Amino acid sequence: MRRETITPRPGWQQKLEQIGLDFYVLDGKTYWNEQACYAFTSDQIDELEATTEELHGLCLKAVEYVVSNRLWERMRIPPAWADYIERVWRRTDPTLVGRFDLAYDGKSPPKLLEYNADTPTALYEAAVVQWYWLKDAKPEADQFNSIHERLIEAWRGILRRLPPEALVHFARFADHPEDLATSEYLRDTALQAGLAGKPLGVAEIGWNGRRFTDPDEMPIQVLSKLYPWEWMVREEFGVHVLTDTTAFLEPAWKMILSNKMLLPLLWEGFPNHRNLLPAFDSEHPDLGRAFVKKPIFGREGHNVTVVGPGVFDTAGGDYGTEGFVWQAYQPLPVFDGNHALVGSWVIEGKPAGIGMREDERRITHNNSRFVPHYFEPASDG
Amino acid sequence: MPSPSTPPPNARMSRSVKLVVMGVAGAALLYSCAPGVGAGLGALPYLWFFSNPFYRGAPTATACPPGTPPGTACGPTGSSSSSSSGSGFRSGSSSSSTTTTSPSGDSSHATPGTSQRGGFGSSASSSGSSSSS
Repeated sequence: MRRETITPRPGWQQKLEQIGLDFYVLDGKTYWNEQACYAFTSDQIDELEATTEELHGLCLKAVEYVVSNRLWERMRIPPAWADYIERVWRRTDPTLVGRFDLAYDGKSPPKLLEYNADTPTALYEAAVVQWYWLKDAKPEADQFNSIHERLIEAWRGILRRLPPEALVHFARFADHPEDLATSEYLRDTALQAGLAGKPLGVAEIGWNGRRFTDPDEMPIQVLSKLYPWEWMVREEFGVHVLTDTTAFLEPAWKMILSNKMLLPLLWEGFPNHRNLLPAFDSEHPDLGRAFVKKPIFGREGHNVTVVGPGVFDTAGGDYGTEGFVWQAYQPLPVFDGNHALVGSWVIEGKPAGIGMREDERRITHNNSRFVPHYFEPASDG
Repeated sequence: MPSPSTPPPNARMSRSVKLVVMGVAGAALLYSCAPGVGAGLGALPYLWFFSNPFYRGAPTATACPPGTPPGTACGPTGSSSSSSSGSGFRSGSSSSSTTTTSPSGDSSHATPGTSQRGGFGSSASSSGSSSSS
């Protein structure tokens, strides 16, 4: 694994805009960076793929453990939601996407930092934008990226479970460009799979006393939402979810996986697993000398603090009222002054590709730069 | 134009497939979808009587965990908590009772009225961050 400094494609801004990525600069800073790329070996890609599959399997066991033992209080999930979450889990409501954040340097086993299982973004960048970059910039190379095909296949599976004339609504905040791109891309793949899709704003979701509705008073049967479950639970309409008249993507059991309490839970269930870091729901000697304190419900790196000998970084925010977890500090590899993070995508439960993010800081956040990647296929084919 | 084909099992790159899928039909559709897609379907009366479309009656005892590859044979409910590696979660005081509550909204033929809106979204404005991760 290495970081290469390269020359951007001629007219790269126009190329990005032509495929819909007009937010290559966010808040005045570069977001899409093709002045560099990350290069992997085929063996390293194999390891990332296997790790992702392994971790997702562990996570499913964790969900079963939480549901069977009704660990709602520990997960800070209102007990009133227990039966609903269990019902959705038992009947296998479908799941589309999730993204593991991994610390990986190409030498040591990848380590799980967290699972963005509910509302992951940078999906379009990983699935489409870096693919077009590969075709232009590294046509002889390959990329760990079957996200697009797997998404369409996943939607086809959902289509087979829906009644005729079914419509999927896609809810998001249109004023966040990365949210809009992710939601629109999901809708695009649904359309390619043969589904009908209709966008709406999160605040436009209605309740008519019996059903969730869209602004045209059309019933919402299936809602692909880019809005976190832990927020929905505590908002005015949250209680109506429990009527189970609308299906959600992601399903409510993802509330267990997008929750940082998952990290100590996994460490308890699979101690010393090669892809896990020691994690606890309080400070603990096994954390070692350096640790990361994360809010149980946090997003985009907010309220994360890194503490260790000669190491300190913290990010402000308004999260943490539900408490924190502590995880042993695994430094991200640094290339040319950039802390590199692997985002490994899971589509319908299977590993599907990666997206690289990098930042000068130790804490990755929503504006951290997206950098394309490639790998050289094994010569023995 | 050839139609998109199914990715080969365990494919991790599938270059040729992607070129077909994305070359014409892929990203070109992004942002170009008519906002009115599906408009008018709400007038179909039967739509109001559907419950959650993934609801298939009482939970079965042989359900596979979500994410299980198609065609995988699954054991009784809860078997996914067993570990083949020797480690893993040990069953505690399991309350394995599965609910059989039928979803509401399935049998009523009430006429839909005007909806209230704004019941979702308030956390986004108070959090100071986007709703994604």
